[in-house]
Amino acid sequence: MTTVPPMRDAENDSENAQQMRGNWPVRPLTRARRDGGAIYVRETEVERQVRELSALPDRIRKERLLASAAWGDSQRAREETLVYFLREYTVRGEDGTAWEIAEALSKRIALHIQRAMRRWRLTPEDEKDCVQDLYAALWEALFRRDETSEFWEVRFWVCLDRRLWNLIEKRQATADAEVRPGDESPAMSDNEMESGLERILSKMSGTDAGPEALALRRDALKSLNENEVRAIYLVYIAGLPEESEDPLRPSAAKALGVTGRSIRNYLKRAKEKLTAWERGDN
Amino acid sequence: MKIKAMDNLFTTIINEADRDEVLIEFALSGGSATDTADWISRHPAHASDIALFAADQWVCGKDADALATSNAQTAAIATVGMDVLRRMRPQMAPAVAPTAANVVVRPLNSLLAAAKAQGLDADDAAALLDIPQPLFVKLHRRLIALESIPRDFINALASAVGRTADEIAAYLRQPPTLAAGASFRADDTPTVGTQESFADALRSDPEAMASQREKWLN
Repeated sequence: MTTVPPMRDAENDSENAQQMRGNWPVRPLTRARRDGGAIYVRETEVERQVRELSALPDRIRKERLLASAAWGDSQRAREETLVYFLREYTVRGEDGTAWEIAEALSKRIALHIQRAMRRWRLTPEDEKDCVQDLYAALWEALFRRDETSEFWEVRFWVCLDRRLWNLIEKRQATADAEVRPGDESPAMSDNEMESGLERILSKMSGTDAGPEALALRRDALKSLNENEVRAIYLVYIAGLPEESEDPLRPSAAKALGVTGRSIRNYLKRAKEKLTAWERGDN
Repeated sequence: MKIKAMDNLFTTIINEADRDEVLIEFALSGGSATDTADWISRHPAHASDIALFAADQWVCGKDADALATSNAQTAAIATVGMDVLRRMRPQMAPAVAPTAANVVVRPLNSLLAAAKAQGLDADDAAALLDIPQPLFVKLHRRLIALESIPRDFINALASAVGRTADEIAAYLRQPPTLAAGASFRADDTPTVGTQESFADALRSDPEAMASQREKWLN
């Protein structure tokens, strides 16, 4: 037997009334993982926030989304949550609220970008170009409605950082150029530097470092440029060889797209800086 | 040619999604140092992305954003972000227009006070807006004719001091103020400055940089 749906009555439209009160249906993700075909899921806390906020009356939902809660506050909407509702409000034609959510995201990203930029050696012009291109890529992705853009609701910062690094690398100044043989004048022998470096790194290695170890690590590494940091990490922490002739064997040189000589130069400069740091010269 | 351009666009989107996916999978796996070599060998085409992510996590830790501090430069970056969005999706942006009858405007009594509420002094606000400090002070004193101010600048000023463009316009539409410290002795006549155009003020300001003139006057 075919059921004829009731005529829509604006006043008694339960779906409209529900939307005004809250109770937005939660949009599921659709992107499947390549390995097993399972659908990607949002982090537990993000999913909880999305469900909770979707069930709230609209006025309260907006207040909660746009509240400037401090980092670490359980009431602070996660970035993935903000992306979700930015899309939901845009689809519903509520541009004003979508704009405010975009502003909130923009401010959070700005803090993150500022921290990242400090670690690089870009000219002010290149920094500005990077910022503009990053935001253009961000907004293009957030307002695109397909499954490829769902990653931003799964791991927002991973998606943003990858684009940020890519943009910065393209503009990396020649300050990170290779050291020419004639320029090398190490203050100590390679053996002395090697044992010193092992001692320094033993204090701050480990990917699950506590706050004190992290602070020590940041302090030690702040004088290194990005390539020097990466070279140290890949060779001494991840254990990759500096370079490898075996095409199937990963190496630090392959990972960073440079020659083995470049890796050795990065390491030599990093070792000198870290040794100076340990002596208290920096 | 149009079909080829669309093909290139779709390829770019798919490649970007592939890169996102590999990195997210690495992050979901915990992304430890011992995993890095393994992941790089399994995904050589994404070695650079994995290496950058792992090194960044090692240096900063997962809670790095807790250490970031807000200042004028951060606000400037955020403003750039919203300017980009405004250009990409102008239909979303709040309109800059004279106050309509149905627009509720919160009274703005002082541009300096509004800036201070955002944690900015006059120097910070001027730096954020990329204008010389004396020009910001002139705006505060309403010595710049509203109709001469570029719409983009009104929006940037609103964003900088945390007000709407309508509130800024309403503030600037009022008569100029007296200079700070004006004397009201009986034999002195308090005077207000005369208004000038935004372009004239920027051109004549000896502290203005060529880049600032280029930015706001073109």
